[in-house]
Amino acid sequence: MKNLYVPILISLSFGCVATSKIEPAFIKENSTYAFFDKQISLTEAKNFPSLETKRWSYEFELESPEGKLEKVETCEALTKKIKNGYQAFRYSEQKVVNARKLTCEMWRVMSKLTSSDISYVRGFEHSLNLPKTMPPELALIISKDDERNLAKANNWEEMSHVKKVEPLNKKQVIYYDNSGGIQKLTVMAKGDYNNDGIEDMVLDMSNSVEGGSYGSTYGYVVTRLVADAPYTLLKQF
Amino acid sequence: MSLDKNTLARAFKKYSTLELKESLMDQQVENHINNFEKELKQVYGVQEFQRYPDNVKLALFDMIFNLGMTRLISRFPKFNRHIKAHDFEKAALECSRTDVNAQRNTYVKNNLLGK
Repeated sequence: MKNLYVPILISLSFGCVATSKIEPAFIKENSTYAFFDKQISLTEAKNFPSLETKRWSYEFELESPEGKLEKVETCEALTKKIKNGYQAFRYSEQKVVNARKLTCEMWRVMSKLTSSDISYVRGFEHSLNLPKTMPPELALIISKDDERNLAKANNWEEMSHVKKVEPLNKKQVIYYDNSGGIQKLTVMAKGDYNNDGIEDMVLDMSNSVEGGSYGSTYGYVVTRLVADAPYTLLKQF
Repeated sequence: MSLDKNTLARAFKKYSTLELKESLMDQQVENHINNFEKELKQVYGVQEFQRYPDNVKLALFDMIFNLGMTRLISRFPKFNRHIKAHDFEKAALECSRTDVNAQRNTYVKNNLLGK
């Protein structure tokens, strides 16, 4: 009888581990309509790889370093051409080209998310205090002075001095700093990116400035290695 | 269709009938230039700004158009110090902006160097 209990207990405990896995979660509002003229539901990591070669409904013209014009209509082609020194044909479109490159990379990152064993980011909330716990690389860095300060800073707040937060929804908030910086931070997904069993967060940051045309976009993968610890930067792209 | 950073402005053309007249566009450009000039005089001083060579003024117009007055004042302190000291060669070393098109950064740098 005792021998019978052992396999039953083992299978019960394995079952318990399996059910306690934390599945990746993805933001509902994604940018797919800007690429394909319709919203595509992206609820699982396996939805993302096909976007790499899916044809956009609106093509771009990029200019090669030799001045040759070429059309681009997939993430795969865009990434390859930018790597080879291509730029937007119209200067005014460079910001959109950069944003698309970032979104394509974001999809690649999100395709790698797997389930986690433990999470210290589930309680994440946007707030005025968040910049104190986030890595300094999240700051808006434009000048050489910004770059020099980044080398010494411990967190985003030390770089930016955020004075106001304006929530757009639960996942998306605009952070205003004390020197004209406007940063829209969006939590795109949660899941295990680096296969260490700990849940990570994928963030999208859109930067602009008060009264200027400047714009940039960045993606980040951050995590917390223990509860209440500052966030650690795993990847910036 | 809604506004998204991944969307080109011209993608909205098929949904819109709005057309701006050439004269209105020219007026808008002039208004912007006048405002930027006022702001640059605030940053560097009226007399000082007027004394800068034209190529330096062009570089400064690009900087303020791109960065806005607040960012230019607060996050480019070294650049501003060199401009105020009329050391345009040293300012050229500080004018580069992250994520701005390389040609545009070169245009500003060359203007400061008088090339």
